[in-house]
Amino acid sequence: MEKEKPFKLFVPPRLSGGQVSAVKPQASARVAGLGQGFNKCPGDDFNLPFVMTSTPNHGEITDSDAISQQVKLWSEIDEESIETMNELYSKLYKEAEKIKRWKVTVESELKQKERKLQENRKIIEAQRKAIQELQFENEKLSLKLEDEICENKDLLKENSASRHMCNLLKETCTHFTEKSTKYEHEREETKQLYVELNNNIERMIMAFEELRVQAENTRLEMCFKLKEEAEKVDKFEKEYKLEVSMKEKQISVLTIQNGEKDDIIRDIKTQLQESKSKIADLEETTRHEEEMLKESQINQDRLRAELEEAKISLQKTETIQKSLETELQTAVKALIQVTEEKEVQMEECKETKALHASMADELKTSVSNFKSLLEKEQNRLKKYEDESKLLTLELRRVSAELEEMTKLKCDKEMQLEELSETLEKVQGLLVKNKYLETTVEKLQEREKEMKNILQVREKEIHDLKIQLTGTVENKETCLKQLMTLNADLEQEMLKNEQLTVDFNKLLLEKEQIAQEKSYIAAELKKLQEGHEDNRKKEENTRKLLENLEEENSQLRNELKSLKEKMAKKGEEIKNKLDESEENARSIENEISRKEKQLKILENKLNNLKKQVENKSKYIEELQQENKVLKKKITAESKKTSIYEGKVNKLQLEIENMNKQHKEAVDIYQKEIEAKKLTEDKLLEEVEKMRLLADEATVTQKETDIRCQHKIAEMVALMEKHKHQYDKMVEEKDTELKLFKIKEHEQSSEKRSLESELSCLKSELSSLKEQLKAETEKKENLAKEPPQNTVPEKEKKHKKIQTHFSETPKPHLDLDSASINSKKILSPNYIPTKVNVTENKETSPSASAKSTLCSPSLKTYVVKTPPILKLQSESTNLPSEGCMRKKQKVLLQLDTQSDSSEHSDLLSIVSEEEIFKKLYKDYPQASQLWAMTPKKKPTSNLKTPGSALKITSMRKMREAGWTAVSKMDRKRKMKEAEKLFA
Amino acid sequence: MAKSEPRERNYDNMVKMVEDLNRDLEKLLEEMEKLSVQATWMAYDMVVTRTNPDLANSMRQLENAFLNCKEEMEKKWQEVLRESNSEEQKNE
Repeated sequence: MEKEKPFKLFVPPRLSGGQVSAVKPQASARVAGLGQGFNKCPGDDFNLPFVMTSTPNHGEITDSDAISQQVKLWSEIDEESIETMNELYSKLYKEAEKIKRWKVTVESELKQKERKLQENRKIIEAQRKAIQELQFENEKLSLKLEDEICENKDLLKENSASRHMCNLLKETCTHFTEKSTKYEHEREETKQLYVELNNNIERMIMAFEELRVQAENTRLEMCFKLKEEAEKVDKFEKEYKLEVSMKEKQISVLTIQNGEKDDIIRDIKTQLQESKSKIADLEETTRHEEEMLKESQINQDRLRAELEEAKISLQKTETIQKSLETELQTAVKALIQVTEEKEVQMEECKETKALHASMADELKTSVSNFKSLLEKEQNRLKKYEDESKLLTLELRRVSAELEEMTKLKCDKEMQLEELSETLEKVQGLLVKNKYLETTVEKLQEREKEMKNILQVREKEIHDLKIQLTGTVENKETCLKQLMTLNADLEQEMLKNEQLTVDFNKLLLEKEQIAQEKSYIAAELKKLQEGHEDNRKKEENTRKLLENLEEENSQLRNELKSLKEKMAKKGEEIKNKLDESEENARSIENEISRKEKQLKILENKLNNLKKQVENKSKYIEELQQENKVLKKKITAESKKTSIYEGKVNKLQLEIENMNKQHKEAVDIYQKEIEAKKLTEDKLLEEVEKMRLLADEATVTQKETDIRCQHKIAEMVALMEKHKHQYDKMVEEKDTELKLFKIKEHEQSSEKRSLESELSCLKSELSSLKEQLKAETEKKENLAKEPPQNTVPEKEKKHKKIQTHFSETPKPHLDLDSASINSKKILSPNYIPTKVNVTENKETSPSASAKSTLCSPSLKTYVVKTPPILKLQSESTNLPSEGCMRKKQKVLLQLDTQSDSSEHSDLLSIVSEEEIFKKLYKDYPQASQLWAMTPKKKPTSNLKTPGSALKITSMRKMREAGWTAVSKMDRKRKMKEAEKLFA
Repeated sequence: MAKSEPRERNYDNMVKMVEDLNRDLEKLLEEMEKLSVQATWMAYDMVVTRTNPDLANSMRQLENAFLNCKEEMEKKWQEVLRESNSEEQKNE
């Protein structure tokens, strides 16, 4: 990771600090080494200072050698120079005082240095702690930075996502706005549609209501109409019912009549049956009466003749009628003509109709007269019947047998009379019928039926009569003749009536026509008179016309003649006119041609004049323009001269400018070339620089890698150095302890020496006393001098023995020390040093034993605990221990910085080997050495453990940070997911 | 140290980006507010138009009128027919 680089790059300062801190001990170590070097030399001389230079040391050593030599020479010299001894004692005392002072100063300096060392260590520890804290803070900050970078990245991503979302939102917004606008349009449309719908619905409702109202109205109207029609139907029904009832009543009446007539017919039938029965009786009588009938037939023949006469008369009347009819037809034709001619006189005709009506009344009266005549004739018939009765009576008279027949005849006559009466009634009815013909035709038909029935009855009666005639031929014939005559008479009467009516009508018409004719004749006469007047006038006018026509004809003739003349003259004039016109036309044509030519020429002239004028104007204008142009030319020539000058100047200037430009261009080109060259150079440089940069980057990378490697190596070295420093510190500690022990030893030695000195002093005093005594003795016993040397030697032995008794257990060391001290200039200088160092390591056990016996136990005890405490602290606080070990390692490394690692290792190994070699003879020491290596691994084991703990702590912390960061990231991611979800 | 300047630039860019984003977001918020207001209006209008009782009432009135008219028409013609029939029967 690139981001870890800065973190790792911060490491070197730590190393530098360590180096810096480690430099100082080098000097101290050197000093210590020197000190050590000098510590070996003194051997017996314990009072040598550490800080003193080599030259005085040597001097002192020489002094000490001198002292030793002096000590050795004591026995030889003391005897010779006792007086000088006192001086020497005083000198010794002075020197001892000096040594004491030096010792005090040395102790104070040592204490100060220890304090300084402790302070420095504390400072270093504090700095280390601060550095570690700073490193942790750096780590935290780097982690935070990483987290923040990650957060930044996440934020950037979120930003981009939010941007994307923003864009999407914008798009959606635009879509939505479009949709909203559409929706608004649609809403407006829908509103309009709603309004239209509402209007339509209202219209529909109104229309439905109107329809309903119309339907109701129509229904009501229909109901009303139906009711009205029902009422009408009821009315009609009632009317028809009334009519039906009326008709029924009529029918009932008619049925009653029919019943009456049926009754009559039944009576007649009964009578007929009776008569049939009587006929059956009468048939026999008829056979008898056949002869009588023949006579009656003769009578009938007569009557027939009479009838024929009547018929002839009838024919005559018929002829007359026909003639009358022809006359009537003629008259009618005339009337039609008249009516056609004069329809205006219809009113008069109406009047005449009224007159005709009156005449009809008269005719009716005449009809009544005729009826009376008919009655008379009926009376005549009755007379004839009476005559027939008379004849019957005569018949009765003729034949008695026929009396009954006559009676029957009478009966039958009576019947006939009744029949005649009935006939009369029928005739009356007929008359009534004739009166009622217009009103009731059905009744007429029925009456006709009745007539037919009656005729049938009559026929039956005729049959009966024929039967009667069969029986009574005469009577029947007579009756038939009578009947026929009666019918004829009746017909004739009717015809007569009609004829009379027609005749009267015709007469009246004739009269009217005659009157009309008279009127018309009068009118005609008037018209004829007018016509005659008109004719007269016409004649007059005709005459006048004729006269006028004649005059006209004359005038026409004249006119014709005149016209002819005029035509002739006109022709002549026309010819002349034609000629003249032709001439005039030709002349006019010529004139017109010439006029046209003239006009053309005039036009041409005008055009030419205009052209001339225009040209003259143009010429004038051109002349003016020429003048103006000349002026302008003159002016412009002047201007051109000026401009030419200017142009020349400008050309010169341009040339100058061109020259300058060329020069500038050349300069620029040169510059460009130079710059190109510089550019090329620069490019090359850039390329070089790029290459260099690449190389530098590569080198940087390499250096980075190397740095990393170096850092790793340095870290490894640091770790190794730590170990070494630990070892060194331990060694130093041990050295210090040794020094302290030495100090103690020295102090003890001092004390011993002091004690020796005191002893010596005492001895000296004693000796002095002895000397005094001996001197006294010598003085006294000057004769016995050789006795003093021997006790001195004995005393020396005793002193040595006391010396050994005082220090019995550091005997080994002291032996070696004594050996070493005795062999001051021996070649075992370095090994001895090592041995000393190693012995110092072993010393604690020995020293512990020595301290028990030594009086300076308190000082030793006081000084030892810190180490134990430190050890305990190291156990309790591995980190601090580590730190210290590191420091120690650093110290060791700094001490042996000049030498390589292998050499160090080798030195250690060699040391160990040497140690082993040396301590083969000394099993205790070997054991102690074995103990020390055992102790070392523990310390070594502790250091890796502590290192592992540190690494684990770091890992834990890193894991914690990573976990925290991951948790934070997860939370953020979840929040982001929630946000985006 | 070489990345610090780009980072500063990035930081400036970031600040600009954030400011732009804030502006855009504010604008969008305003637009969204407007749109939401419009949408609510739309919904309200829709509801009003949908739940407008005038149309239903008018339709009911129309239906009632139509049914009345139809019934009356049918009934009346039926009644007329019945009356005519009854009259005919009576006449018969």
